[in-house]
Amino acid sequence: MTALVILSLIGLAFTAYVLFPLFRDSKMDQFVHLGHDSTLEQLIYRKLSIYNNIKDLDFEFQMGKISEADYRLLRANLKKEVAPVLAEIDAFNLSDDTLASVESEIKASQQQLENKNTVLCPACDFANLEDAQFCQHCGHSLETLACPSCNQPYVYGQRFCNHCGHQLEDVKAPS
Amino acid sequence: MADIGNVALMLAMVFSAYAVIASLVGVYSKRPILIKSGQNAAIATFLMLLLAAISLWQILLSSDLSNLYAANNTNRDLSIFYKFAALWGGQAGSLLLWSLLLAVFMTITIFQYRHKHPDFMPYVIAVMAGTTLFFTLLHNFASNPFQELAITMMDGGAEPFVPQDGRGLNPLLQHPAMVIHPPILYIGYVGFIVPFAFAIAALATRQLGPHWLKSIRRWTLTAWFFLGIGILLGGKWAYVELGWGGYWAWDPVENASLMPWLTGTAFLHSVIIQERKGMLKVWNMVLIIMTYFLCVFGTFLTRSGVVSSVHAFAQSSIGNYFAVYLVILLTGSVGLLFTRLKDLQSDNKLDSMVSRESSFLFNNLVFLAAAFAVLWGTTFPILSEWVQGEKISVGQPFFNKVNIPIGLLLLFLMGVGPLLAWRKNSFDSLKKSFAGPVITAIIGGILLFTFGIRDPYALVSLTLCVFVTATIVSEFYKGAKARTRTMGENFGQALINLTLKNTRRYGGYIVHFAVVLLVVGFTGNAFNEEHQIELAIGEAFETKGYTLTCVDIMRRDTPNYITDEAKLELSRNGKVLDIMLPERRFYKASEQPTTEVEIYSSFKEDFYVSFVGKNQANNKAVIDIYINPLVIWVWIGGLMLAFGSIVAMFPNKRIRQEPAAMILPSDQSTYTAN
Repeated sequence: MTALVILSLIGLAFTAYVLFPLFRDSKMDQFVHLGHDSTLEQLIYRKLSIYNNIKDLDFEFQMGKISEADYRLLRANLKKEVAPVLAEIDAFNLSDDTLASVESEIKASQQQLENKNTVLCPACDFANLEDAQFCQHCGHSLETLACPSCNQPYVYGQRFCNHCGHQLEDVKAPS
Repeated sequence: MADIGNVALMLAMVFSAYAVIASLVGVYSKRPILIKSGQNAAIATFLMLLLAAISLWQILLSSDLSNLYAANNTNRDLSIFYKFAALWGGQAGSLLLWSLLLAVFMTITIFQYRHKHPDFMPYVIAVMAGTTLFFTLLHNFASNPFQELAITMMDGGAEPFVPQDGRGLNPLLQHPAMVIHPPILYIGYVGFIVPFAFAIAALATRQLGPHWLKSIRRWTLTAWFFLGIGILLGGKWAYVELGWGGYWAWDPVENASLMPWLTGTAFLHSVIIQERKGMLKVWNMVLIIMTYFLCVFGTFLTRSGVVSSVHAFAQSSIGNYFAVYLVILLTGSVGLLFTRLKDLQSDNKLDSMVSRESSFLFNNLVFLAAAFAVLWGTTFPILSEWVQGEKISVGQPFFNKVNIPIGLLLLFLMGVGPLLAWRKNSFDSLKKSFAGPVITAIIGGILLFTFGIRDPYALVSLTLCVFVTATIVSEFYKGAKARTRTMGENFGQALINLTLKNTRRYGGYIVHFAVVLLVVGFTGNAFNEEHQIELAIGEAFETKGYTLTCVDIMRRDTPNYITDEAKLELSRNGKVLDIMLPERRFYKASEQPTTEVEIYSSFKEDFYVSFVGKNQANNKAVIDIYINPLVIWVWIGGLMLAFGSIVAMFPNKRIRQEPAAMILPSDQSTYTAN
């Protein structure tokens, strides 16, 4: 009998745990799509992937695995490959030059890989030093604000809070 | 405790069904609270299965023989160590371990990714909870570990029954390696569900970009690592427990674990191409689906009794359940894949056939060929029974004939791949990369031939081992030298930082070296020797410079078993190397005999003795002797494999350091080291 009571209590407790979210604040029941595959995100990933390829190519050349002629040709090809990707990212109204910035972006990307204490610009994805106030690539503000819903920090320009999903578009820009 | 276990299993089934429904309805009706409720149900499923497992452990440890599973898999005198391991010693218990591990991984995945991949999680939970539901259905309706032991009465009714003692754990399983081998292997099998569930989620949401591949990278590597280590531990167990002198017999259940390992290895390589170049997207999906399918298929082979194996459980009805699950799994996932083919087009093309990418592609094809050859040989008895009505088994010669050349080709590609640069290589670049390793391999081959290696396969295999080793050494050496030049580090520091800064690549090279050691061990099989001898007390046998003398033949009686034991002295040039005590045991509870072998191991070879028994006609000890060259390198290779995999699993180290610039003479660009 005691076992039966204990088992029933366990069953009820777990059922309550499972059903509990259904009785929470209905505000929580707003579906926010947080897709990872926006065109911009894919382009940024593609850009970083080519930068990594360039970094690997540089290292393979330093290791003496490939001839200088091959190295120059492949590196030039990779730069050509990244140029249209950057141009497409620019089409999102984020930057003004392409090829000229490739080398500096490669270095920045390498710095980003070397140094985890960077903050990505929400507008152009450039890796800035963590204490930077403005993006050194596009000038976008990097000031952190507090989400009105959960009080977690976010960077101006973010559309949704990455902690609670609250929509942030109507928040005023810092003056 | 059985009541608690039964209720826990029933609740686990209900919660897992609810988790599937709530997650899918939640995502289609866009109701996050339903999705959250589904997540809670998945976690509750895990807690219920944990409760069920604890209940079963309690029953086993307390020798509650009113429980059918405990009566069949333990006896009162069984040590506590093996009573604990008896949870996976029988069909119903090991299925419970499967579903418990599955639920553990589901819970970890929820906590790990619920914020990072909120779009994926409903589908991930639906796949994982759906699989858990399948297993809980088995627990509740086909293979319940909490079933009471009962005897059928004359009137057809059943009465509870408690025997004086249990049948005991299968004696073959009473070995330390068997205590850890099944859980480790299961972690590997079950672990592959995480990449599979994410693949299904990516297909379902059409979010087929590369971000999810990064998230499952470590899960895939972890599952692959455990599967590999599980296979090697199984080999070690077979070697020391079965007494036939070998560690791999191409047994169907061994093959069942090898197949997903092979396709998983192919996936680990090809996913790099997708990450780097956006290619092979469909191929990678196929590999993930195939790997998980083969994991379940392996479980089906073990459980259904459709093939004969030392591992297989008795023929049972759960094979039908598995067959249905496999059909749903395959048609569902392949069907979904077909509907998404348009979204999976490659971003790039192969630049050249002579490139790192193409070597990865070849390696994938060869891995797949190996997996198919093993699958064909393993399922041939089933196919022949369907077609001809007669089971025809293909033996070791088939597997060796097909897989040795495939293995050598893989070894060759393992040496070539790292030497090729990405994208394309001119003849000049090839000369630069290949000169050292090829010359080393040629010298190695000549030396091996000079020292008497004449077996063609062994000669090619060991020469390729030299080639691959030279490739790996050259990769580490050149990488470290590049760092010493550009970063100003000393060589040792550069070597460590090189590895820590790109753990996947250099951990991978360590794994390659482990494979070299494994192949060296496997190659030793070409030179195995065996003898069956009879020795009276005081008699000696000589072979290959060893002298084996029979000192005594004894009998011991323990609570768990009776054992016949031969005391043998192994010596060489008059120097005693080892006192060996091989046994022939007879387990009282299960009434089964086993052999306990003795092995004198050196880097050169194993001297392996197995006591067959006492010849009653002449009172002599009948002894099987196996001289197995290079076996120890298999186990050392296994340790190296574990080390390399752990290195590869580590995140890359971030090093804050200003590099010394390297300036090209004809171009004033600056470059920094990796």
